[in-house]
Amino acid sequence: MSSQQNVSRRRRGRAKREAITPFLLILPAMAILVVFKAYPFVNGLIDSLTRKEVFPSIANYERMLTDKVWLEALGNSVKGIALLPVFILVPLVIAFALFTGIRGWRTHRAIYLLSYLLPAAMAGVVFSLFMGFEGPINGALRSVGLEAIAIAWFSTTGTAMWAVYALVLWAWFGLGTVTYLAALATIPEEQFEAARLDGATAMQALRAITIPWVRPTIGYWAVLCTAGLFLWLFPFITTSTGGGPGNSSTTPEIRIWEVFQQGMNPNYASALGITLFLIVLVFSALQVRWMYTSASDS
Amino acid sequence: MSSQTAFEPQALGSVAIRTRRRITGRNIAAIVALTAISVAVLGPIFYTIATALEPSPWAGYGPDTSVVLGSILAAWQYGLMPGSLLNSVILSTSAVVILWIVCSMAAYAFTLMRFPGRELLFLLVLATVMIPVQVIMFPLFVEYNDLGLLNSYHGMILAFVIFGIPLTTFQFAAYFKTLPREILDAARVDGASTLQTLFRVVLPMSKPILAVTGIINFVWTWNDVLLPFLFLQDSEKKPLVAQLAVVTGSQFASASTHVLAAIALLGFAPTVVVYLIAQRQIVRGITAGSVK
Repeated sequence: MSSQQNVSRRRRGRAKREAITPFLLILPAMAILVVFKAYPFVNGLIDSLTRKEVFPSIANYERMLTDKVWLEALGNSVKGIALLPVFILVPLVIAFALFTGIRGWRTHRAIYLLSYLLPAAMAGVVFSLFMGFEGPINGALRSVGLEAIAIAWFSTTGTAMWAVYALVLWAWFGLGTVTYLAALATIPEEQFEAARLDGATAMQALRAITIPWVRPTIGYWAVLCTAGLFLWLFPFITTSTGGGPGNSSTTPEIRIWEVFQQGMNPNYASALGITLFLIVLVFSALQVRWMYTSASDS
Repeated sequence: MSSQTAFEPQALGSVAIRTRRRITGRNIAAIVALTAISVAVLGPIFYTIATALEPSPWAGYGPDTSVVLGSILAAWQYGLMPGSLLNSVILSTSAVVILWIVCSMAAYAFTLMRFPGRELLFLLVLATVMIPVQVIMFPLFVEYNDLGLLNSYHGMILAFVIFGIPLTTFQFAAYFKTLPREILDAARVDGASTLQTLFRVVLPMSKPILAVTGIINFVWTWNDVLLPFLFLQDSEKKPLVAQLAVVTGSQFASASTHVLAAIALLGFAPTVVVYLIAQRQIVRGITAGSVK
């Protein structure tokens, strides 16, 4: 009798322990995120809505509208967004070419990925030299008589931002290429067999099989690039143009860093941060949805 | 389609070979174009190496760059080598290991256990990817200051962990979903506790995803400069890339093309060496998880 009670008590004890086990497992991750992401986020939100001890106030957000550097920074991001088709299509076309099994495709793939793996801050140094006034790009231009456009790409107001985007494309296209290739590799071979039996040309197969298959990956890569253009350019810019000349290659994240470093106005810095959050909200929400669905159904 | 079986170079090869067409004009044009792109990737890298090795006139201050390998030696000094390399290894390795433990535990609960609020909490963890450091820079810095975490290795490692959690948890969760339930149930019946099941049964079966998350977290923490700029003030504590990035702004280094090239070479070198050794695993690691 008593031993039976003991067993059932032990069983209940085990059931109780099992009920809290999952919470213990997620505790470290949740605690870190609450303390070091959610809490500062709420703090930043409150800071951004506070002006001279007055809460709520939208003064910090109003100030943004007259902050010429911030507006120029937003404009520079718009230039990047305008280049999105290039960021999406260049790796796609390259992936299609490699996927035909062309001679040396493995070697090319390995080389393309290298520029992504190299530290972005160091790539910034390399390109500021490579496309510098006395660099080899300009040397080549001069040798074919194009001296007029052999300029200092990274330190000329009109070209600095575009030079940075060229550098970013150099650094990222390899990741896009292998991402597309990974998707292409999952196409069932039978589909190609069937298309061949039906007498489809390579172009028809591309349009009917390959492109529909990689469409979700194109969406994924587009979201990644968009988020990246807003959030991952800091290391490229900091060692190539530093945001200059003037503010001609300053992006929102560079402006936030500047305001932070000046240390004068934390509330304004928070307002800029929250605004950047709102700008990337849609893209990053799409990214979260993609992660959630692909981790939930299998 | 599971994300882990997706990327098999061999499978890609076989598809590729069967769809290969005979050598045509278009084919040759593609080979030329692809080779040109490879040259465009390697060109700047070789230019950097050549410039860094070239003897250069000495500006009259700082390390003498006119001797053999002078620019490299200057970059070595400015980069606070080998201490900064050691910092990088310590910081990245620690972040990788802590993220493995924290995120595999969370992902295990989210995917293989049942509890109230599971879906919502999982979504919230993933949603924090929407808060990058730029958004919370000032309040997080203040918090770090209040807690005495600034300018310390543990504070720096914690920062990498904070911003690595959402993606790493997602990657573990996507992988755990594909594990056969029978094995977990068998472990259960044998009386293994949850933690025992995770560390003795699940993780040994999860080498592919440990490699994937390990590579991805190692690469981004190794290359990152913004978080080290933010949280490490002492040069002696900075990781290699961040220290070199700071130095490029100094007047000594920026005066010489050769020294700048040597700095970039020094920053590139560890990555290139590791890539040459483990290229196959790295390519697989980078792409896994990007295919649904």
